[in-house]
Amino acid sequence: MSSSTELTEKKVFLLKSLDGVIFEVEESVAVQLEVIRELIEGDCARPFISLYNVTSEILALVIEYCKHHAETCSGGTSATIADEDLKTFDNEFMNVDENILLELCSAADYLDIKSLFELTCRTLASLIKDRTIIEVRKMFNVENDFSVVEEKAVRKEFAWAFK
Amino acid sequence: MDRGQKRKLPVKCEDEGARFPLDELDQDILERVLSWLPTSTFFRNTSVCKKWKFVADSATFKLACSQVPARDPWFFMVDTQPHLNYNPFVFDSTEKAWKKLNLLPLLQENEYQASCSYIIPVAASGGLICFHGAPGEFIACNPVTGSCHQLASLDSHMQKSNHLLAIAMIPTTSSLKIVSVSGEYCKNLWAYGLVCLPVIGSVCLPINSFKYCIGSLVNEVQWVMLNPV
Repeated sequence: MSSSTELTEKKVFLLKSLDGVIFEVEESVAVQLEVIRELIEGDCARPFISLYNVTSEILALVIEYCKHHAETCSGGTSATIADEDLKTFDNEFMNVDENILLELCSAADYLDIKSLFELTCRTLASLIKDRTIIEVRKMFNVENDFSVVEEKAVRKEFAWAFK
Repeated sequence: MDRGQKRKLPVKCEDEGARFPLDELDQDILERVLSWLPTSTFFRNTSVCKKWKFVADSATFKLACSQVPARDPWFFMVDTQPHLNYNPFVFDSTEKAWKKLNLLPLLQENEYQASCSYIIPVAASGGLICFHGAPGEFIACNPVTGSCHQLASLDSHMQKSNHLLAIAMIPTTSSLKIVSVSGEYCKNLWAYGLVCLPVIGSVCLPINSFKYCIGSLVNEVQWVMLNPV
């Protein structure tokens, strides 16, 4: 971590999760949450911000993600090295339980963190990709609401996709 | 946007193991997740449930799809002999497999039945196929989503001449350009959008924005790669 900015006073924000846990974050991290950046730009940001839809477990992960991205982007390394570093970090970061992945996706949507939202959507899609229909239903706990006849018709319509 | 309207995070199901109900996902998130699926996977998964099936018709889903930066290409193989049971073969490079699409019902559903007897594929680009029916009549078709669109009839020069020398199609995110060259040699050059080289009885297929391939639909003329830029 760079120590050059240590001397200047950093602006910090306190983010409160759904279950009441308070996280202290620097402005460089907070602005990655588009919801908060909008508040800051509109000059309505209070130092204490409640995030009603995000649990502390998820918020901790979100902050870890934003912190790493903020540090890497301002770290003074070349763009290609930073890109590689972020890619490696993102891959490892996505190595989580499917439940957490979905909550992260929802949180990234709610907090409006575009890169994290895209990353989680892409990862969820890759989980779907290699599974059969039955496995997908089971995995995502989706109920099959087609009748036997309807399902047969849909499969017939896109028969080519099954080959 | 009213942030207060956003959904609550799904409550964890303690007794059902660690499964999360994607079914309870906000429609917007579901669409964004599915927009990242490779094409074949997406259509296979339309049989998961009704909600997943109807995503295909959603305008916001189509928008989400257009924002996915890159997809593996599909290669269409066109038949040299136009006939009624025309079905294009497609090589899906994601799954590294050949697929045979059933296109005829698609054109029939879209009321092009009358012209089906002589409709021939003349150009393909960006996942769309362009068919040529009567002189001056072109139909752009997405063989995967099933949408067909009859293009505005080309000008009268084109209609008088049955000799289509070359054609190229360049779809962009908001519009579609058709370049056609017809008539005898270049006398009745009819083109707009981009210039492409005329070769008798040939089609000009854009490989990508920079490369074109010219060859014959009728005779077994060698296919030539062009790189006009």
